Amino acid sequence: MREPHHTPPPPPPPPPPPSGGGAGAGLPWEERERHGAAPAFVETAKLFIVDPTAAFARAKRKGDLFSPIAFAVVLGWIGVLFQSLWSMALGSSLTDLLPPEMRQTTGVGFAFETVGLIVQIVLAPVFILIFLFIASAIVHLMLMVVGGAKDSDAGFEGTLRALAYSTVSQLGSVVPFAGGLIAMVWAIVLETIGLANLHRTSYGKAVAAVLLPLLICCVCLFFAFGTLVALIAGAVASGAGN
Amino acid sequence: MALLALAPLGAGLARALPACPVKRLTGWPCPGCGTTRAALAWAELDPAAAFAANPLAAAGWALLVAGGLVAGLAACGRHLPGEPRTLPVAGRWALGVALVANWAYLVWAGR
Repeated sequence: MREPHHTPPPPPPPPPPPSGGGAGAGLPWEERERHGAAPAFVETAKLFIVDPTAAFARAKRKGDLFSPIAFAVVLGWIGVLFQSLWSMALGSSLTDLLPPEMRQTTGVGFAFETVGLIVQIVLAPVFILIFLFIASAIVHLMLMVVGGAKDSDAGFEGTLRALAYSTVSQLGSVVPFAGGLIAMVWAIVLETIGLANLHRTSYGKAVAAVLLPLLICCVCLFFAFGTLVALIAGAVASGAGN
Repeated sequence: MALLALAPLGAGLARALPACPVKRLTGWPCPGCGTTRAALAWAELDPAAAFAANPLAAAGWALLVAGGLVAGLAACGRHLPGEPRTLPVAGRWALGVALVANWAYLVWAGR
């Protein structure tokens, strides 16, 4: 006698991954209740370092502004901390190079500078917060000027989010001497990727929005540099004439 | 809110800020010269002095604080008007003219 043929029921589909990886699914930091704050923070920072395009694609486009702002304040503070540490280290080593009589006079200045740096470290979170909003307002205005926010549903929030997550670039400040420059260039790249992803705009418009304010500053610096060169040239010419 | 919280410390903190390198090198103000003074004047609730220091920056600071208040209202769940997505051509020109006019004023006033 044959046993009745029972076909085993198909296995249930595997459950979806907890954090998801799709567009706007949320970064680990945005779901830190599930992952734990510290691991979620580190995981998110790693994502932005290794694959910023994928990270910005995963970032939420609306709601929960606390997450990107807190992320920016913590990373910005780490950047300020390292910049201040390098300044203090460099300041003391430069003072050591001076002759003893000059060391005494600059020693007072250095002590004042040290106090200033400590105040800077303590107040940094407030300044980072203010700077984040000012920079976001300027960049968003520039994005509107170049027409990059036309098809966006993220609005100002999207720009704020892009700039906030781009503060991961402040980790460049860990490098002594060139850290500030590394962080600045890295921030430009991250902000461009962030704006292009969160506002669904072209990289051209995103880079224009990021670089336009810098360009205005550069025009001024170019003007200042030109005047300096003219002054030096004038001094050299008058020296040669005498 | 952070700006308002820092307002009483403004004068002390401003002394630690470096002078504008453009102004120091050329003697001419950059478009941002007077921004700190405008913020300090706002902190002392002196709009006339704020606008005299840098009109565009004074307006910018006022808009920033107003924006913060609007964001606060949004957080409270009040209905807010929609955000503009683009700047009309006239707005772009106005922005450019405002930047240049502001700079011209700073040069003229010797800020």
